[in-house]
Amino acid sequence: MTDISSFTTPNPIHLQVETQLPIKSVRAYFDQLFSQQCCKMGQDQSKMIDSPVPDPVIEKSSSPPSMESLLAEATAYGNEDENASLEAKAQKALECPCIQNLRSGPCGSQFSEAFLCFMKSTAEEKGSDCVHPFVALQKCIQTNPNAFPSDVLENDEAKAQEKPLQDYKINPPRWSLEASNPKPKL
Amino acid sequence: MTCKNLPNLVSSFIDTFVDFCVTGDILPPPDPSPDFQTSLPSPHRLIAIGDLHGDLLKSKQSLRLAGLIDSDDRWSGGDTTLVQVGDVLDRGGQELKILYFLEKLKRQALKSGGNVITMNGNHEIMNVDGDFRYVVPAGLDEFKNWAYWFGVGNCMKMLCDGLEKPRDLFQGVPLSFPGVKKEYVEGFRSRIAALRPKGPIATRFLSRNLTVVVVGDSVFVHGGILPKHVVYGLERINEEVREWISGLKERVSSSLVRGRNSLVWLRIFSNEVVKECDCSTLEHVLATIPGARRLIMGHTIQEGGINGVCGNKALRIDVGMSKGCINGLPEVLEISDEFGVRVLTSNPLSMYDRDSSIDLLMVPVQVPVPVPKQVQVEA
Repeated sequence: MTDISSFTTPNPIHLQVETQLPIKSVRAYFDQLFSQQCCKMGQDQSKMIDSPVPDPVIEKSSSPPSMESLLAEATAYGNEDENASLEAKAQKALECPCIQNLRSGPCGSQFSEAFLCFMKSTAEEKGSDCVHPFVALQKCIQTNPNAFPSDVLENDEAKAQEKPLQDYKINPPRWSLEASNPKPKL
Repeated sequence: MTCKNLPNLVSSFIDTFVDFCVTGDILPPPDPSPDFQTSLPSPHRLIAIGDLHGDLLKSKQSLRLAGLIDSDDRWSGGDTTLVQVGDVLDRGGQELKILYFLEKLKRQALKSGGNVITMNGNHEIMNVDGDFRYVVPAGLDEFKNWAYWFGVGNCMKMLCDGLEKPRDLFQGVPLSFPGVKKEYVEGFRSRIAALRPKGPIATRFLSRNLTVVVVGDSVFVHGGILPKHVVYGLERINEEVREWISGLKERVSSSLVRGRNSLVWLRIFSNEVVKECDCSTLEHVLATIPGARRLIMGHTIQEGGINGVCGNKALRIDVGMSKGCINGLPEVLEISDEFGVRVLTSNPLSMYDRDSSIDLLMVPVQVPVPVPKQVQVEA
């Protein structure tokens, strides 16, 4: 009996993919997203969020803190800022008029939750950390089939009913045919 | 104030959500610029897998047998190249699940220097043509469910100002079919909508298949290949089939994909009776394809397992593994720098009585006990 592992090509080191996007790219992503002064985000506010993390001010009077603690402080502050800005920008995006229709109706809040999570997701497969809100939205739509009604689609359906295209032929399997029907032409 | 860039994000959110509803899985967006090379250099290790026919469990068992996926069903094959020789569709009810799964694997494989090559079989072509003779009832349900969520996604996109109005999925699809029971009509309509040329599933998955591919010194094709096909041009064949499936061209030459002498229907090299394999034609074909030493094909079930004829220049890898076929034991073909050409089989005793003229090395591999289908969604 051979162990299956002996047939497995060992994974090369470069397999290890970063699961977290570097902070800079998240920033760039949202900057790009809202580059058009999107969603009531004022110029000043945007500037404030996007401005580089200021250097911590060292008080003259107290003994100077160690370099390590300074760095830790700066890093912590940077992360906090990043998370906060990600959250803030995603929240702001929810106010965009283009998605107000989607945010209304019986599944509006589920949509908002799922979309918010998706926007904030930095997972390698974007949205893979949003299973719960996705399931909630899915269930809501199942319970409310008209959660996202579309008049335009219905109109198209009506048009199709007026003029069905019957020249499209299929070759169905036997089990799908009415019992009284003669054998299909194969 | 405009939210100019938001609609694109809404669109990719909706696509991800629809995929999630269909598969229970979060998938990366489709590769915008896929690679369609007809000829590829020899990888260090290559695995070829035969017809899958809607059986996801057997598909995964085969990949696990080859060491290509781990216990979480993620690519673990490193820089291995996987070639699936077509016939994912028909005879089983998990066709879409396999298509999505292979696509996901492909993305993971590319990240670790590997590759997943998928191909057209005759059953892919038949379904694009509306020939549903080998569809099973579960295959209608799976597509009906897909069409439902795809439709929901379209409705959501319509509600987002700034997004292009999506094309009606069912445009031009008949509302009934003569003689077909009412309860199956929606299923057939969904299959047509998905798989007809330019249909969303045809475009997303099938148009990314190759019809013939040369990897190193191995030529892969679903059925077989004749000298006239080589003259026609392998790249041209792939391009013309692809353009037809994605709706860029109205039709495709039947000599390529329809009829008994087409690339996906030929059986002259895969007949189980060794004497009937046309070795001289095969020699001729291989001689006219630069660097080609062997032909690897599926299409004809080999009840005795993977085998080779014509001095192992014709390797036949369809073991009929799907429950909808003969429920054959999973086996895959391996070609590697380290071990050459050999068969990895899930049969530890290798009890198949293979023809004594065949000198393919059989390597029994312990297949992990199939894990019951995992609950993919945690509610």
